[in-house]
Amino acid sequence: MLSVILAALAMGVGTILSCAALCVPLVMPYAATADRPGFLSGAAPGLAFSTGRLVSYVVLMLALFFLKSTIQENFLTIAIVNVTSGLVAILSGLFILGAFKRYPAFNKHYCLMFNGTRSPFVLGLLAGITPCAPLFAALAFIMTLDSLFTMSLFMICFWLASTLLIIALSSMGGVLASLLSRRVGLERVRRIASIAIIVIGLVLLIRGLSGFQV
Amino acid sequence: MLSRFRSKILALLLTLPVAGFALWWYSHPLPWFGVLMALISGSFTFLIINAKRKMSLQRPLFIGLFGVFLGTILSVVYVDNNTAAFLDWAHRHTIAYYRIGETVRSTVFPCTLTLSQVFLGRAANYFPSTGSWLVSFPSSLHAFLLILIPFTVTTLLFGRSICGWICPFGGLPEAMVTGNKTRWSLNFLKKKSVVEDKKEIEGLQDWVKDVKYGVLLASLLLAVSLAFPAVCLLCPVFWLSSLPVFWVIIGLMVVFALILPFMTKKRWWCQICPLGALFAMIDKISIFRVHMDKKKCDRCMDCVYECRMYALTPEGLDKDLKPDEDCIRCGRCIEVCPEKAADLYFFNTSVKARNIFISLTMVAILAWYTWFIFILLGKFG
Repeated sequence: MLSVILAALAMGVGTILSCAALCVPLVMPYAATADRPGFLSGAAPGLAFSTGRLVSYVVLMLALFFLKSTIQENFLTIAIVNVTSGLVAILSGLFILGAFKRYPAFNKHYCLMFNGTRSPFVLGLLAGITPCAPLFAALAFIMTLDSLFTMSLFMICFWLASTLLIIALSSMGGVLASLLSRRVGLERVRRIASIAIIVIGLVLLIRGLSGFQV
Repeated sequence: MLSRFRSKILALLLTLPVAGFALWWYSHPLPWFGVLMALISGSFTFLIINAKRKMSLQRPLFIGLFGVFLGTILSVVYVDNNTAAFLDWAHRHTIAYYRIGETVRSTVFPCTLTLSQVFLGRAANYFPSTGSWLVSFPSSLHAFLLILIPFTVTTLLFGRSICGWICPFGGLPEAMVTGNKTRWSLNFLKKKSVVEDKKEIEGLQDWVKDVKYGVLLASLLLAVSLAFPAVCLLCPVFWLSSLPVFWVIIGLMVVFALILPFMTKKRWWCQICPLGALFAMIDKISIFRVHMDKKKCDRCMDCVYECRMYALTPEGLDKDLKPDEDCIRCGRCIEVCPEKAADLYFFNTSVKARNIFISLTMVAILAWYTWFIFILLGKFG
């Protein structure tokens, strides 16, 4: 059991060098859009993103357990997920920026969908279903485990280890935003962070659309 | 008569260092080229310092610098290579193309990371062979320092005025700002202020001003997370190496550097440029500052209308008689002011610095454009 936990933690830490680093730019600006940016409010989007990833991991794990098949990289899936993530990021950035204030009905209805930690959660869900190299390795590893309990334990340990960096950097983003807001004002920090979210969303969208050509 | 003579002597004194620098900088490997550059840069500096309306010479110079930039790209793509061969090279081009410590003879663009190496190399009498570049690719730390040191010195000295005088791309939106008529008002991007005689002044909304900072934040986060040198964003080879990136950049250029400047008479590219955001952030410690004389300013708002960067606002004038951090020291406000209330000063003192600023800018242009000028010389010389 200990060897499973250690392997999961080692593989989880391994994600810090690859996929977690790709997730961080998506999460960090959200940390700066809180009403009162700081360490804890900064950690919230990181946690929401990671929770979204966990849900995806569980779904993937159950699929593997019941279907008894391996997962292969699929360019079309990655492209669709990139496009969807891009759209979610762009829309949530626009909502935080207040671009839809002129349309109260639309704003009230959809604001709930994209506000707070919902967008990072959805982005986490999407990131979780586009496995990176360490996750592929982890999924291959759990195929060798016999019980659902051991598989779950492995995935939770893997998730915990891979989440540390995201939450730490997300909290750091919150602290930086708090320091910056004292100098330039909270509203301006939120504005700049939301524009950054839109730009990152556009980059994801372009990556996704170019992926369709592959 | 005496004052005219004095101003000529002053112009000459400020011209000599520019010509001397050009002679020293460009005389290797071709002494005649050094003399030619000294004559061209010296006479231009003399003329611009002496001119009553400096803008009439600054604008063609700035547009000409874009011509040099564009000419370099086109000559690299078409002269030595055909387009297909160049695109093929660009597609295969990676950072691994250059190995650390290895000296390569590049017949196409040298990597952007080596740009400052060329810059510092000139100062140490290093010269690239004309026709192709001898580039020794530095380690990551060295590359970082090579980029950082000259970049920091220039930025600290000039702040955001780099965007108004030195930027190789700024000439395109500047060239597009033509005619007397504002064709589009773009009211949804603007906030209105009413001043004393009920004149309506339109400034940009705060969020539009912050777009460049958002782009900068996103660029830095993506660069760090993808282990991608942010400086590569400036590299034409990078633009061409990926077709989607190429079309996005072309699209942005068409909208923000061609259409919007032509329709609104303002420089919109500078409102989204992440490098401009970086310069704006450091601008506060630049030694050259524009401000207005409180006694002379009659709040006619001509400078606010004329500013192509939306850097001057009635609120800003009320507050501290200064433009905001987007001021590119183009000097348009200085020349349009009927009361001669605006000028360029050293820090916040009353020591006027416009002529010294122009002289120093010419030196910076001569230094930073080495890269383009030697490529052109290599191709056509």
